[in-house]
Amino acid sequence: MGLPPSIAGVGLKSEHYRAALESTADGLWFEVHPENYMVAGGPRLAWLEAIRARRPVSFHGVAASLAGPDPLDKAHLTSLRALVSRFEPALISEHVAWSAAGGVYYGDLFPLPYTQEAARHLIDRIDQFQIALGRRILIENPASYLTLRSDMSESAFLAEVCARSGCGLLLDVNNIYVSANNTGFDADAYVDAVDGGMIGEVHIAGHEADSAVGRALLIDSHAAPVAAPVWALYERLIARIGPRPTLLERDARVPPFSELMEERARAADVLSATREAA
Amino acid sequence: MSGALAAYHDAFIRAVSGEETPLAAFSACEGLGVRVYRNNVLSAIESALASNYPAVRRLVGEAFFLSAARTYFQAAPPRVRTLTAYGDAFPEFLDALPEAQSTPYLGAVARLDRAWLEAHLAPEAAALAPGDLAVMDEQILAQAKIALHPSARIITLGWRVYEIWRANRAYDASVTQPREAAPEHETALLWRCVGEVQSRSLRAAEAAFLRALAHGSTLGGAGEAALRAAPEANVSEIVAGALSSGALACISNEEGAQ
Repeated sequence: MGLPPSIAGVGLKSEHYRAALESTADGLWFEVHPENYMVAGGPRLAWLEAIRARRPVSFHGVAASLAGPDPLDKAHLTSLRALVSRFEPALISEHVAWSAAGGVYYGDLFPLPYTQEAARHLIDRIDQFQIALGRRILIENPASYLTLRSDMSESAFLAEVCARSGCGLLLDVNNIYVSANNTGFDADAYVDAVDGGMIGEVHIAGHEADSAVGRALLIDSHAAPVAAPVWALYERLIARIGPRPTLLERDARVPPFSELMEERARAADVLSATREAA
Repeated sequence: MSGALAAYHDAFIRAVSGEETPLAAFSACEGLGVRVYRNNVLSAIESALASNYPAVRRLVGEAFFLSAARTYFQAAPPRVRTLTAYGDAFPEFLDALPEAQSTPYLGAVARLDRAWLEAHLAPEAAALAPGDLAVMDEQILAQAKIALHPSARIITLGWRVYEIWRANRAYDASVTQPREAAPEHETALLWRCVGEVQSRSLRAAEAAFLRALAHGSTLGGAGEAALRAAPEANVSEIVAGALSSGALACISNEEGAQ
């Protein structure tokens, strides 16, 4: 299994089910949040089944709360395992974040300080999660809105967690740009330092300036096309590490499928330019 | 877990819950960033409830809905790791919400939204087709137990709101808003047929017939229940209507199918 490294995919939105199913684009693949399919039946499972019969699908989980205080949620793992065995995703990823505490699920990705204690906690839980799924996962760097007192940089933290848990990295280039802007680190230096061997997938997406304070605070909204400086970071990364399965995310103000596919074509150009140069 | 990370988790939850500066020990500049996470949580909750209760939202408007969603979140935060079916207690919550007392039928509209969602997400099962019963001997047929399709929901409401609900569900400005709801009982059936949720308001005899089937009655017994509810009812028409709806499933005979 796995995804072809030189081909870009798009996040699957319910508005696009029919267009996604009927698309003839070469090698196209899709990514979904498995939590949206944790239902007993109905059209969304039927659509995913039909699309999966033609295309590779990747699972990008949002609710495992790997960095959280509660034990891993048994019901969530059971549902996830059932979806994994039904849809056989090419990749499974989760977030370096937490989203539940005291039994309450908050529906957002909360940050964690980059300390040795947090690294040990996350490594232990990635280990439990990978064992429960019987699969290696990728973990995604977060979009940060808060600077927390830390012992190490985010890139050093991720490198340590990946090395010691055996998981890979899903590098979200937009999140690097947003976090660099919001918490004050150098995005180019981050992209140049990350170990390409850990990276199993790359995300690109759009962000927007905060409505109250403007560009001092960028929000990872997935509500706009990929911004120019994020394309530049993406090109810089791919030129250095070579092609990786790349996913275009769009979750709000969703344009027609054809428009997303045009944006995806730009990522495909970056990937094929690198492949030819190699 | 103990130590600094546990203290941080606890402080962060207090921060997103609205406490002023619980993160001072963990961040030099918490205010701005915490607001983003707090907004993200509320927006996830609000959009889950908005997608699960669209008719309620359209009826009360965005501002009222947002405020109700925030209060509901305090009372009944999500306890499972998906928001696809979030808000199972929202109808009862609206019944009791002081700000909603000027629209006392809001909870009834919410019950129809909820039934729509449940029908939409219910397990798959083959629906019974009219031809499936045509081959059966009439006496065996009367003893047959026919279950409702797993997506079928029979909802009895204390207000006559089905038309109001349908109009607010339509997202069509040309659908005229029905007049105020009357405080009378109304029963509706919602079910999924070929991937689409269907709905209709039921007459008393139909409601009694379907409820009897749902409770395990034979077809004959359900017919008698229909007649008890409305002596003038045309039972064969009710049976035919139920059969062609796709709201019935899997057949089993009381003594086996011999």
